[in-house]
Amino acid sequence: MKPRVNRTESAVGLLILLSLLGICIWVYERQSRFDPSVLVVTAPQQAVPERPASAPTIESPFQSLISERLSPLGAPEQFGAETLSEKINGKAELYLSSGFVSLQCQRFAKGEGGRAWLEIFVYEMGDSSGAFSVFSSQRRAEGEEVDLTRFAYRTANALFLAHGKDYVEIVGSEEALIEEILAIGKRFVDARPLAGGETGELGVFPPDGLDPASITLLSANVFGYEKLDDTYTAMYTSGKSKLMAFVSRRESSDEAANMAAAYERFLLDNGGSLIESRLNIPGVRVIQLFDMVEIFFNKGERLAGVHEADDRDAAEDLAMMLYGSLP
Amino acid sequence: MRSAKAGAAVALAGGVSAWLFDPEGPRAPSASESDLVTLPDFSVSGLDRKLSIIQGADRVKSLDVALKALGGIEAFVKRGDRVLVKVNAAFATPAILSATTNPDLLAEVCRRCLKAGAASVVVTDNPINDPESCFSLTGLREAAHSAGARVILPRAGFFRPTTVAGGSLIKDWPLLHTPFQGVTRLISIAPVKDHNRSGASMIMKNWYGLLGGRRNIFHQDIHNTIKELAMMVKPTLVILDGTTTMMTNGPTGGSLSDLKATNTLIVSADQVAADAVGATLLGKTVSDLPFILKAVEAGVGTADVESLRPVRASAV
Repeated sequence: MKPRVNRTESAVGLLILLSLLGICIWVYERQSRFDPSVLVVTAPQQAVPERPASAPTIESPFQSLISERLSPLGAPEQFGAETLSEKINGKAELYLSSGFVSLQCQRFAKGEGGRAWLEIFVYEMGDSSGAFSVFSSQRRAEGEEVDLTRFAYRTANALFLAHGKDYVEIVGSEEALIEEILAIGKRFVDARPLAGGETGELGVFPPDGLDPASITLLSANVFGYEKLDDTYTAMYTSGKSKLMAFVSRRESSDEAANMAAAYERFLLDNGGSLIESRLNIPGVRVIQLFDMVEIFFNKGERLAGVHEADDRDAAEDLAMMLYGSLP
Repeated sequence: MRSAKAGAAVALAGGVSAWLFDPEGPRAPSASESDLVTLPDFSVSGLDRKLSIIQGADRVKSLDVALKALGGIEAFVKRGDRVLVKVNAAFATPAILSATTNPDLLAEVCRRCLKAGAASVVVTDNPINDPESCFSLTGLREAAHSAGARVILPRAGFFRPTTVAGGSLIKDWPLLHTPFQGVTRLISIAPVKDHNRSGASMIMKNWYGLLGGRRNIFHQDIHNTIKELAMMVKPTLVILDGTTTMMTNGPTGGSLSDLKATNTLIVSADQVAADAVGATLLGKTVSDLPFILKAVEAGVGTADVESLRPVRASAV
């Protein structure tokens, strides 16, 4: 005998079937929706495709510098002018304006686990002036001079040096690595003897009152004047006064004279006023700029002077010394 | 007969399921899709003028005081919210150099969001250096995982073009968009840093990490770019970490001597106000950093910090 199905049972059955259909549609719709918090995290180790994966077999340019206690934490990297910002982002312009050619860098770990590691950066600049420029403009005031090159200092976790046309940074993840870092720096310098004669402009600053560690090469937009470039600055102490002297070697004596005239116009256009000189220096300009005085002159191929001095008497003394020291 | 019908129904259901089953799952949206995208407004209505400035050397304690002053993380993150934390993982440098978001602070923020009932917390950034190295060597990956959050590394397919409404620079430009799918709350955590081009890298500059492509061209007009980045994103909450400030040689730093203990944590719903406070830690004013005033003019927020009646407290 055929069992009878009443209406209630049919309705319940239909309801169940419709529910199942609804669940099927929901599952189908959900599985086609991309959920990064599920799908990506299952494969977090994947590299970004458009960035070249570094092959571990690439020979390290730093192999001869590192001790057996260190092992590569990654492949060596190289960057040119077009790609430098991919490594140092907003600081790239500082290097590019100083004649940057290339950067080689690599990380090395010490011991197991990779907790202690260091990174070597070798910036090849166009010449020794470029290397000195980026070295000096980033010099840390608390840095302690290191007897590796004429321009080298260390901080608690890092070593910075300019050597020929190379500017080198070796940065550690912890202070305990500093001896390892210094050893790498020494091997780097020892492996690259220099012929001498680099950054010859440094010798033109008179020694009395000079802070030798303060000498800096500004490559572009010096003192806010976009036409003035390649200018060495140095800090002096005279009594209680702190003064900044500057020297910029131009292509010729005519160009030095033109630059002096152009710099004068720049200062006058920006609120300065020419005042009478008390100095026995041919063509010297003394410009009052708010509460400060700017003294400058051209001698041979050089534009030189004292920048934004609070103490006019001390500035005039320094300007005279500087004039006397220039060839 | 009934058994046969039931069997047929099961077979039919199985067959249809097998036919519909996609073993590979859906793919991330293709970068070739040309539709412009924009980020939704993640701010919480009525809480947009909150600001706390907390003194202290311990980030976790400072965060605790800062959030309590603003009504707790629960005021910003509700049960079921899906939170995205935008960190600064720009460089593959150790945490002690403070060039990136502090991992302890990240972990604490993630933990608090999950404790408040967030359904998920994801952490992301499109770093300058290779993402894998950045998240590993900064300690951010480990910090996120330890707190129960997930890290999403950028991939080519995750970017979609965006145009900032009212902007003139960020047009049809790749935006790290896929990690935002389903997200209901956005928190930014960034350190206070000197920056060679912009003068400072803080919260507004941190959105730079949402851009893809050859974004370094934006450094040519950095202040207007930062303004447009701020116009592009309306966060729920921003956490500006000035516990240690990179005073010089930013944004990379490299030496511990570039850092100064400034012992300040700034938590706000107003990203402009947060940066205005952060500027003071660098010894600067808002007039030294044109992007702040530009953001004010664009209506992103206020640089008049006192108008927000900030809560100032100590976590010592």
